[in-house]
Parts: sequence; structure tokens; C-alpha cells
Amino acid sequence: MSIKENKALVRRAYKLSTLKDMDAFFEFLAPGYVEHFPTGDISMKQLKQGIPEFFTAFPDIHITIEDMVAEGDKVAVLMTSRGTHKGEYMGIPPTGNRIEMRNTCIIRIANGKLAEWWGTLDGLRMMQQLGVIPSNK
Amino acid sequence: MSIKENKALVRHVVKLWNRRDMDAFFELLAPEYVEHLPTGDVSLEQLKQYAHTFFAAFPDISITINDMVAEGDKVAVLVNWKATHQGEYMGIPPTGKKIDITVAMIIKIIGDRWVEFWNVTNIRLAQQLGVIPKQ
Repeated sequence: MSIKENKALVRRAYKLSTLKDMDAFFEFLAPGYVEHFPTGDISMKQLKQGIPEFFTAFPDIHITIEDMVAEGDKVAVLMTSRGTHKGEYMGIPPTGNRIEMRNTCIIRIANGKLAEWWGTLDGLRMMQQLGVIPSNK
Repeated sequence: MSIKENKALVRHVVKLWNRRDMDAFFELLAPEYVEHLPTGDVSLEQLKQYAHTFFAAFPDISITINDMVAEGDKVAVLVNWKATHQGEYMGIPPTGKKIDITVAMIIKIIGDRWVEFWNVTNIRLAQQLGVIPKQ
């Protein structure tokens, strides 16, 4: 696939995620799909468990893709997620606060599907390591 | 510059940063250089001031490039940085804790200099959730 097609694939996948059409979203992920976080890898199975919790915590979450940089089989994405904290998240009871977080990630595409993901979720990890907020179990 | 040259420039800038050769580092940033952080934009002047505080907080910081994706005038970089929190940072007194974070960022290059930079390292989510106080 061309870098243009890879970018279009990423755009479609994240649009489905914003529409909460998760069945269609998971169709875009390769069976061996894995997200590499500094805290460890997250498998497709773990992602399927984690997403409903995230949507419960932020039911109005909306993802905007700000920029994409593509080369070979990889697409780097800069995106902003906005939502309201309406359910428990990482042990934090709902605050009703508006959240706006920016994520950057690099996604590897294989056979027309998202195969691997490397990225950052807004420096939260660092605050955990500083002991400012409790670490996720 | 080609995407190959742009990647080489990013590698070189990270090397200068790891060597603390800040004079050479700032030479490779354009005068109009701006860092777009979720908390707001940071100018070259502000960065020069901030760099001192940052190195005082994390004197042993070491950055490793894990991956690069380049297209046109942009390079996306996945970096890992390791450091020990030895000085006050964003109001947090030194904890002596080891920091090990991975960050993906996007850099725009014109000529042979960095002109723009987008990053996500911040504490906004935690602030907005009220877990840690706002600055």
C-alpha cells in the first residue's frame, strides 16, 4: 500500500473509534495487533477489555487527527482527544472535568490492517513515576 | 533537504543534547523555532531559559531514538529518555526517582534547521482530573 492509502486507513480507523463503532474499528486491526507502551505491551484482547471502560469514563470522547507523517509501512499520527470525565478512570472517581489530551503515535500497517502501535499518552506515566499520582496496578 | 538528510539532522541534534552541547544545539534551531506543547507554545527564547531548569532537574538525562518516520519536511521520532529526578521540576521537589519515558514527537525542518516541534509530554490530563494541582 502507498503512504497515501496507509494514511487513509488510519483516518478511517480513528473515525470509527470516535463514532464508537468498535466492531468496525477492530476489523481494522490485524489479529496480532499490539500497542507498545512504556508500561508494557497491550494485546488486542486487553484493548477490547479496556476500551469499554474508557468509553464509560469519557462517553463523549472525540478524537481529532491533527497531523500525519508517513513513510514505508509506518504512519505517525498527532491527535487530540477531548471528552468529559463522567466515570471512574484509573481509580479516579468521575470529576465531571473536561479533558483534552494530545497523543502521538507511530503505527505499522501490514496487509491493509493496523499491526503495531507505539506511542505516548500525555506524560501521565512520568507523573506516576514522580509519585504525584498513584501508579496503575 | 531529503528525508534521509532530515533524519540525520534529528540524530545529530539528539546527540548534541545528550552531550549537553547546548550552544551547538541551539544553532540548529531556526530563530522562529516554536515548540507546540498541549499546554501552549514555547518560543526559542523560552526554551533557552527552560533548558537550564530542565538539566538541573534531570542532570543525567539520556535520550535514545527508537524509530523515525519521515515525509516531506517532517520527521516523526519515537524517543526514550531516562533520567533521575534530582532537582525541582514543575513545582515538584526532587524525588530521586528514575524516569523512563517514551515519547513520539513530530519535527518540521526547513533548510538545515528545526522550525517547529509538536510534543505531548505534559501533565494536563492529571491536572484536568484534579489529581495534581494546576500551575
